Amino acid sequence: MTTSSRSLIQRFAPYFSVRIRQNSRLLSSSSAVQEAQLSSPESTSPSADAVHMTDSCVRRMKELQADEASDKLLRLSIEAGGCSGFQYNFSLDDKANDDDRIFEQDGVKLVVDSISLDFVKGATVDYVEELIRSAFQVSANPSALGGCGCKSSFMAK
Amino acid sequence: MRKQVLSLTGTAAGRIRQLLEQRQRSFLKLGVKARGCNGLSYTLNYADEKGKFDELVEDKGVKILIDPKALMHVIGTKMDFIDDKLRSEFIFINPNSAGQCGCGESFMTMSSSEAAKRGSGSRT
Repeated sequence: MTTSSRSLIQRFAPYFSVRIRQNSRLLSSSSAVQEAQLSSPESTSPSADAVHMTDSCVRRMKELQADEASDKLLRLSIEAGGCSGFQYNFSLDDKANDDDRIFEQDGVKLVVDSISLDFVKGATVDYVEELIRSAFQVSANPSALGGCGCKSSFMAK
Repeated sequence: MRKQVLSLTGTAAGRIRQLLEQRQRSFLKLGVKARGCNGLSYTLNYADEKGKFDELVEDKGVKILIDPKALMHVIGTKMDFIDDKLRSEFIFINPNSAGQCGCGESFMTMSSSEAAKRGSGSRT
């Protein structure tokens, strides 16, 4: 080994690193498959993208549940319109669709369809009670660029 | 004989009566403020006495005060109350309104757009 200036390990290192990378890719893809199989689809989410609900919102949903025969979901969706491009729309739904993401908090479920989700990642849904109105509102939306003062319309980034 | 500045639907009047009884206050006072995406938005507060320049409107057995600054913007408005599961709110059907925000909260009137040009009006 006196002639070669590089040790055996150094010469084989590139091959090892490629192999290690391949293995880790295999490992992560298989674990992702396992995760998807274990958990029900679209019911878990990385916290940065999650849509949160305030306590007031959760409380109001529980009040509404009490009056309903079946469990209702709060659906947040995006519509084109309003003074800033898009506006939020709240509705009560009986079930989630295949392309929905469900965010559960304290037994209350908020559901967002996959297209709308891009516009509301990380947002917070609140229920405000004022003299002039009591309504669900998106109180903060990091995915929105600007917004209407009344918080019903916003510009997408 | 002045035409009614503000009119109320039965539902709105009922809700106002309920709010005043609940809190044992004398009046609701309607105002406007510059904000929102399209000029002005409505404000509603409790009031215990009529201010010197407030306009007192009575409709369907209920009294409402109108802030003098708001008066020219709300003449002829009909106030209604919507109550469904997702929201309950007072809405204002204003014939002076030239444009409206998607949520209906902000509106513009000819006088408000002129006021905006002049740079007057209180900004909150």
